[in-house]
Amino acid sequence: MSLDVNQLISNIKDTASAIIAHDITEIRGFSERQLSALALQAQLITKAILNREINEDLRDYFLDSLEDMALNFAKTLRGLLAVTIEKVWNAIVGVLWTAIEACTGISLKVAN
Amino acid sequence: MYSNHSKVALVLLLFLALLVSSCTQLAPRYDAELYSDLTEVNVELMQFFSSVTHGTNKNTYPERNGHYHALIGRIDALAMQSNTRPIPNRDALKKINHYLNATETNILFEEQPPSVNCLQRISISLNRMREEDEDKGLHTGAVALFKNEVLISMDQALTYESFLNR
Repeated sequence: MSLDVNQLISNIKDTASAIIAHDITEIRGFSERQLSALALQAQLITKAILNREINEDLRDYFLDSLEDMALNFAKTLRGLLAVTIEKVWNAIVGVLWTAIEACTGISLKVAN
Repeated sequence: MYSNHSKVALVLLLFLALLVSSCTQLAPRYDAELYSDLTEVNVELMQFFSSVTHGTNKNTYPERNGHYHALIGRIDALAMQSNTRPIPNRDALKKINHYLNATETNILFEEQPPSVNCLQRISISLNRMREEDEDKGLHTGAVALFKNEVLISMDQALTYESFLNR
C-alpha cells in the first residue's frame, strides 16, 4: 500500500490547526485578564499615591512588584506556548506513525 | 509498487518516527493535587482579604499574625511542590533553546515551571503586607493593591497548572 503524501500533509495540518486554535482561545482569555489586572494595578498605584495612602517605600515596592508581575506574565505565556508546542509535536508524530503503520503493517507505537 | 516520490517520503517518515521514538514532554506533568491545593489556598486568600478590605490598625495586628504565617507557609510549600516535578525531556528543551539562541531570539524556554515564580511573588506580597500591617497598619488603598497583586500572580499560577492537564 502506498502512502498518500497529500492526504498525510492535509491530516497533519488539520491536527495541528485544531490544537493551536483551541489553545490560542485559552491563551487569549488569560492575556486579556492579565492585561486588565495589570492596568488596574497601575491605576490603583496612581490613586494611592495621589491620596497619600502609601508612603515612598511602599510606592517603590509596588512599582517594582508591577514590573515583576509583568515579567511573570511573559514567562507564563512562554510556559503555555511550550505546552502547545509539545501537544502539536506529539500529535504530528501520532499522525505520521498512524500513516506509516497503515502502509507498512509495522507497529511503531511505544508506551508513553 | 511505490512511486519514487512515495518511497522517499516513506523513508523520511520512517526516519522521523524512529528519531522521535517516544512521546515528547517539554513541560512538567499535570499535578491534580497541586492544582486542587492552589484553588483551596486561593479561597483562603480571598477570605483573608475580605476580612481586611476596609484597612487595618496595627494595634489589632496580633489577631492576624497567625493568618499571615499560615498563608505564607502554604504558598511557600506549594512553590516547592511545583518546582520538584521533573521535566523528562531536557534534551528537547536544550535543542529548542539552541535554535532560539542561533536566531538571537531572547525567549529561551526554562526548565523551572513559571508557576514557581508566581507563587514566590505571592509569598513576597504577603510578607510585605504583613510587615506593613505590623508596623503601621494598612489603608484601604494598600489592601486593594496587595489583593490585586495576589490575584494577578494566582491567575498566572492557576492558568499554567490547569494548562498542563493536556
